[in-house]
Amino acid sequence: MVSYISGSEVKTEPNLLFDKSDSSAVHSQAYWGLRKFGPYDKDVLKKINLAIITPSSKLEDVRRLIQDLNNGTPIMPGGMPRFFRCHIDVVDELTIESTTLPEYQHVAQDFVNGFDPKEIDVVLAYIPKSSRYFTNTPYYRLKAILATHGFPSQMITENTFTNLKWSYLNLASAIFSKAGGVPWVLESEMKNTDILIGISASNLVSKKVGQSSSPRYVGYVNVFDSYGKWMFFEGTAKPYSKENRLEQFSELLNRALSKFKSEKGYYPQGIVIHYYKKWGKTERNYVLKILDDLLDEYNVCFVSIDDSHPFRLFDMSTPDGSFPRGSYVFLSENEILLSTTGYAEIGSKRMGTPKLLRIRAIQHPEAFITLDEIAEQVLALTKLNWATATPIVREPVTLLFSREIAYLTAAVSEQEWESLNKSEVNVVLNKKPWFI
Amino acid sequence: MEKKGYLLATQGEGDNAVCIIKRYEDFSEITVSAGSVFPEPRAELLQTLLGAIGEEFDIIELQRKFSFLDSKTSSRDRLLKTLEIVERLESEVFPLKFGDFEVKIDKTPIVVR
Repeated sequence: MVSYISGSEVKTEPNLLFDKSDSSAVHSQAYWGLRKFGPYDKDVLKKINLAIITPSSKLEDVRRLIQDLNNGTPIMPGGMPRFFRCHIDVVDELTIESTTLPEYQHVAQDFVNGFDPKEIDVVLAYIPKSSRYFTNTPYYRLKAILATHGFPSQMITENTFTNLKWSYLNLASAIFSKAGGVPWVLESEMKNTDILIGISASNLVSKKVGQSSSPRYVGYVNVFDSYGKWMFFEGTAKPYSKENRLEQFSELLNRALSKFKSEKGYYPQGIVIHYYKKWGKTERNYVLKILDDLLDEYNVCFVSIDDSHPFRLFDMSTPDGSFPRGSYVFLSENEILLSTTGYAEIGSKRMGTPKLLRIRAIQHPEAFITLDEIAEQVLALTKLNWATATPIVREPVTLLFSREIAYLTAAVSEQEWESLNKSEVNVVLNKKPWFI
Repeated sequence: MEKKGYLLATQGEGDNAVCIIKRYEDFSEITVSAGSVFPEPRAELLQTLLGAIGEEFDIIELQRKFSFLDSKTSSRDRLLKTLEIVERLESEVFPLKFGDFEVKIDKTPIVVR
């Protein structure tokens, strides 16, 4: 006997906007949009001050890379000046003689002691390739040391050079955004949504340099506006014990909403909060209490997005049999499975069978966005990772940024986390996506 | 009984090798015989471990092969293989019977409309 399930699709691939003063500067793909129109922010950055940390044997390669970024390449004709309306100025070059962790830590320490974050926009570091599942590596230690002193960093490895042709644009976009520029946003506002928050709690912080004996955790939020533009990052001021987890929601949301108000001039009314776990009733009640205390009138949508489920969807009418990107099925009245990496006209990269996103939504006090609109939002948010111009990305940026920070929290000590959130560092870093 | 935890370190060699494990349950650290520990890392970590013991085997490639990742029609291949396995389960394993309780398997996929 055949059983049926109902499905639908996001009708058109969400478009991106590449000029804040020209609403016609739109394209569905970051690469073509940047090539044709330049970045969304055209006047904020004219010059990016870059410092380089590299083994001396790789210095020439790195210099050539910067030169190519400035002058252009066949894939990126016109280079940074055309794609991002700015150029890179190398302020200093620090070289090391080996690629051992102590040497990287030593040079990073020398660097942070010798420079002011106001003088350097981004540090470009050449490091040996390592698995991201190991934390005591040059990648994480350098990133942590630099970030805790207010310096965003961009890492490159030998892999960057083996596929350099396509690395240029991703590197350029990451450097531009880490320097404070906005490469692109969504063309259209997300319906009934003023603020979108990606929240993450209970991330174990490293004890390597810490003093406490019990495990300590940190939480953080990334805040996006109605155009999906990343606005800022806020972390819990201090690591906390597991039993205090819910209080951290209060601290994080209070700070996020207050900061949103100071930037936009108003408190949000349509609030969407993305969480990579299932929202528990206790967690939701904590959030509602904060919103009740802070806002006169609001609607909130608690969205859980995860891929830890056994479902697979197929479509034998597509060339590869994959369930098309943007298509979804309803598992219940508030739950869908969305395909973000299936067959699509904008990208032909083979990504295997789509790992579907299970999206569950609970709204309060009443429904203000439909599941179809939530699917459209999530699909649109897969296009806002400024570290890549790849047309098809699987996860929405709310989850992706949370994961990037989670990898980092496992590598930083309690003291380093507290340094990251000190006002003098926070004021430099929280408007730059230093963690991507 | 199976317990899950985080492998902190391995000491000793051969039959004397032990693993120091931090248990997820209560974060206590226990030392157990290495022979009783089954690592469950990602393929990338297994690859690193194999490299560390001098084994030349591309586990990432194996994973890609069994996931049909190198195929241009990976989803189609996966569906056909899944249907083939279900067919076999249906004829060789199902129905499962527990007393007067019976579980059948439906060979037809759910159709999206």
